[in-house]
Amino acid sequence: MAFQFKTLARRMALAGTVAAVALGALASTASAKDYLLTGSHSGKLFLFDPAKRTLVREISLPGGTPLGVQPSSDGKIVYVMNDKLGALNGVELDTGKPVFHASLSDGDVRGKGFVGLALSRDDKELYAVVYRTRLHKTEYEVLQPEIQVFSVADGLNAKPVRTFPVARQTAQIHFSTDGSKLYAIGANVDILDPKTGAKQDSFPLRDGNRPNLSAPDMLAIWSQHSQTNVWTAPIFSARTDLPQTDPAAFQTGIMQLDLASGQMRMDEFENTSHVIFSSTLNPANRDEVYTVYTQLSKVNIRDKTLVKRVELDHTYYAINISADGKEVYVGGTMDDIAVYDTATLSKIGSMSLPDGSDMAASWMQIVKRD
Amino acid sequence: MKRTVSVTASWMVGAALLAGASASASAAGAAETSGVKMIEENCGSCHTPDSSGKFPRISDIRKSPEGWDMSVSRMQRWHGVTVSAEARAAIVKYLSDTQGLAPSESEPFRYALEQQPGAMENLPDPEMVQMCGRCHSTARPGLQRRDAAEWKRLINTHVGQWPTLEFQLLSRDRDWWTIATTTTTDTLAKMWGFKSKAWDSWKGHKTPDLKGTWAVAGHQPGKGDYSGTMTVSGGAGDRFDVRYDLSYADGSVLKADGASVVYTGYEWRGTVTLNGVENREVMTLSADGKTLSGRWFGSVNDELGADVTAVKTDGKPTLIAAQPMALKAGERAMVSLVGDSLKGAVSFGPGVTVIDSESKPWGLSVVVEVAARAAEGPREVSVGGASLSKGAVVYDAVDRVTVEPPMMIARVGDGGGPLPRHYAQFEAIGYLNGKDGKPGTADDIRLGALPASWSHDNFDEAAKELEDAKFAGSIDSKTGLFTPGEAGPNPLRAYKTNNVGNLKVVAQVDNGQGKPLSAESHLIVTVQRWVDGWIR
Ligand code: HEC
Ligand code: HEC
Repeated sequence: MAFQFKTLARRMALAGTVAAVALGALASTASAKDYLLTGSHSGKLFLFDPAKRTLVREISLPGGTPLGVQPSSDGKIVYVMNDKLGALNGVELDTGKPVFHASLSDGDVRGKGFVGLALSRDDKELYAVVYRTRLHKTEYEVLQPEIQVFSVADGLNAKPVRTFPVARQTAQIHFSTDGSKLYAIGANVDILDPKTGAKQDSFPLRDGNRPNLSAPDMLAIWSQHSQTNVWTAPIFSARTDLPQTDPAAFQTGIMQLDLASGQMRMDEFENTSHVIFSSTLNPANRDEVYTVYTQLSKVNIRDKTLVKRVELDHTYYAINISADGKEVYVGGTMDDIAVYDTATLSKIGSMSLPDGSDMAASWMQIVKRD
Repeated sequence: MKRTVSVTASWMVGAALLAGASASASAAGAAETSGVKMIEENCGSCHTPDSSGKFPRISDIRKSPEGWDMSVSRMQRWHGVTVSAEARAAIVKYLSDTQGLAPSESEPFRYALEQQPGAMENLPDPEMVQMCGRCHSTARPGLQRRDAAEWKRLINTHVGQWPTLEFQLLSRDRDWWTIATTTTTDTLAKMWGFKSKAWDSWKGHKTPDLKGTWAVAGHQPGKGDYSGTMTVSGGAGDRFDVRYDLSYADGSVLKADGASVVYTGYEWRGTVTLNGVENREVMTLSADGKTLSGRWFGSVNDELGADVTAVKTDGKPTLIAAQPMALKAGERAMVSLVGDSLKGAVSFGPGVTVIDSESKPWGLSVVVEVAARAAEGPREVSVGGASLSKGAVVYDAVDRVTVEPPMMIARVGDGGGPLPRHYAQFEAIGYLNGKDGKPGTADDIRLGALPASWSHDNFDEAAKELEDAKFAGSIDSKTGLFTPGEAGPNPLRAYKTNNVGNLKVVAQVDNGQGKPLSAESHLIVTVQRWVDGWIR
């Protein structure tokens, strides 16, 4: 009996250790929960708990309607491009307290951003693509666009710590997972040194030469790749070897940029039949891409086939996905986010903005928080 | 995306302005001498004149009156410039007179100035259309003259003001900026350069004396032909008062007073209230000052209006219209011959006998008898020394019919929203196939508008699925006037969409011998236009 008791105690002790180890592992990797973060026309940020389908927090932003919405990796601070695309603002997600502000204009040079907004992997520097115009007394002079780099530590009156020129038509910018490269996605994808802006390489889109395909028309507005670190976007190309009347004359595809490996690829999966605004890759099955507009579509990008397509209640611009790949969230456009089961593409839930205002083109990001 | 309507409202104010209705004649009389001073006072703080007295930017561009007014409006909207209504009118007048367009330069773009419904552009350069014709008409640049440097400044203004322009469809597929500032700039400067022979010879042309009585003829789609007189008085500062005395073919009478300003020696801009509705007139004066022609249309509902031709009754025999133009064989008709000093023998050619004739302030009213076997085809009409080739057409049976415009846009409106509906007015136009007997060839003969019975339907399967025909509006079966639905999301529709739709409009016409003919037009009912301007 004594022996047995001892053994049991040891087993329990052992079990306890195992449990503790398991807990620790969870806390450091997967215990942070997924939240959905988006902005609205009413100049607010909304944080939802998508598992519970509930609104967790609502924050009024300085500077109004945001377009780009970028959380820090610890989920504590959110940076937005807003103020009619003329400024960057940062707020604490817990308190709503403004902690960062930078105007993109300087003296007689008016700066405007668009969707080029990225946070360095160490959360210390905020990068923005800025389109600049010198306002002379009786004329406007368009200047070379720049990437402006801000130190988030500079707080509410931040000025760029570095600037470097970037190609016109650069839309989004994203860091490689190791932080050593900055991908500037525009007419082509330029690979830049984030310290100097020096171009190290370029992946051709417009300047590409894919057999029998025109340069892709790519819609690169939304950033919704944080679950996989694979940035994706819908592309539309024309077959140069077919008459325009051929059903296959126009092709819809997906562009992928793997921010871990640096791999880029474009895969056409159907004759163009529907408008698609944005897409996201499934973290649980990296052959699967989900796309959205007035339909939700599931695409197998390895087989280059459309797996399933369903009609939505209305048009949605943005899409994101749960960490386990079981649910997709479609948002943007109006005031509701709908939840769909990735296995069946059936609607299983919804959340709405309490003030009824439009999300419009605001990004809808996943935030990982404890 | 929602936008404010203040822009539209400011154009409405402008509508009265450009026609001179709100600026006093005394302010205008001084316009010539004070033009430069007005610019110095209102614009000089930024556009400071150089040593030669030139105003930077302003002195390097030529534009239509509408174009100049749009510029001043932009100075107000973008740069916070405050200009009184009188100063705005005087500056626009002065700049249009001294840096305007010659008649031959504005001629290809009358459709834009006249807001012709359903007008299609046909600029021969497809790249130019994609570069400069996708947000507004190519008439907007086409009604301006600049050198390459000035065109380039305008392109800088565009991209400086709307940095996202480069990311839009038809921009992001190309190196828009490089193309715009090289190829497009060169093409613009070549097509529409600052200096021109036409302007050199027109420049300084003074507005002729327009005082007196004019004979007027026109056609208003949905209502019919009209004729009458227009009495013009005044003239100081090129400002005129006008009294209209018109009657329609259906017997209704229209009397109204209006006011106008003539710009650049030929650009007549007027306002007149017709049946309680404010209308604008955009007309050109012929070089000899004898004929005015153009269109009048609602200040708000510019899709509703009429074409107009007026001739000054100064004693030079001139015939401008025979109404109706189409005469059916074997029938008797009353025809209005509109013009100046119409005296003497009236002829419509063989087979048409004039059996009665009465003199009118606008010309001559005649009764004609068309022989049953009179030859089909166009006829020269003459009265004494005045004649009009193809002034009338004799027909026996209508060969075919088309609907005009062949493609049209209507816009939802009202419904508690800030903007009114925009209607679509259709007409059924009859044709003879001509000598070759084949439809759609060069020798076809136009008979003008015919009475029709109207209906509308879904344009295609997609429209049918969304029940566009049910929601997007309705057409008056007699007049061909389509009234679009109310603005705003419709809870009864799929996706709670607006009352937009893709429709076909169908006209049924009797060919004159009991046989039905039909024709269709394509009508798109779309959302409101939130931003507007004189030249779309
Ligand atoms: C507060 C300064 C300011 C004042 C006052 C001002 N402007 Fe301007 N103007 C500008 C600026 C800045 C531009 C260049 C940007 C643009 O085109 O709007 C410009 C451009 C122009 C242009 C060129 C636009 C084009 O490309 O066609 C014209 C013409 C012009 N102004 C006319 C006027 C007139 C007429 C007035 C007086 C009623 C006036 N401006 C008063 C600032 C001013
Ligand atoms: C993205 C849409 C867009 C494109 C593309 C565009 N425009 Fe415009 N343009 C506008 C708008 C909007 C305005 C009205 C500006 C204002 O509010 O006064 C305008 C105004 C103008 C005007 C009148 C301005 C003035 O002051 O005289 C001209 C002329 C013009 N555009 C020419 C061009 C030409 C030439 C091109 C091609 C190189 C072009 N536009 C391409 C949107 C566009």
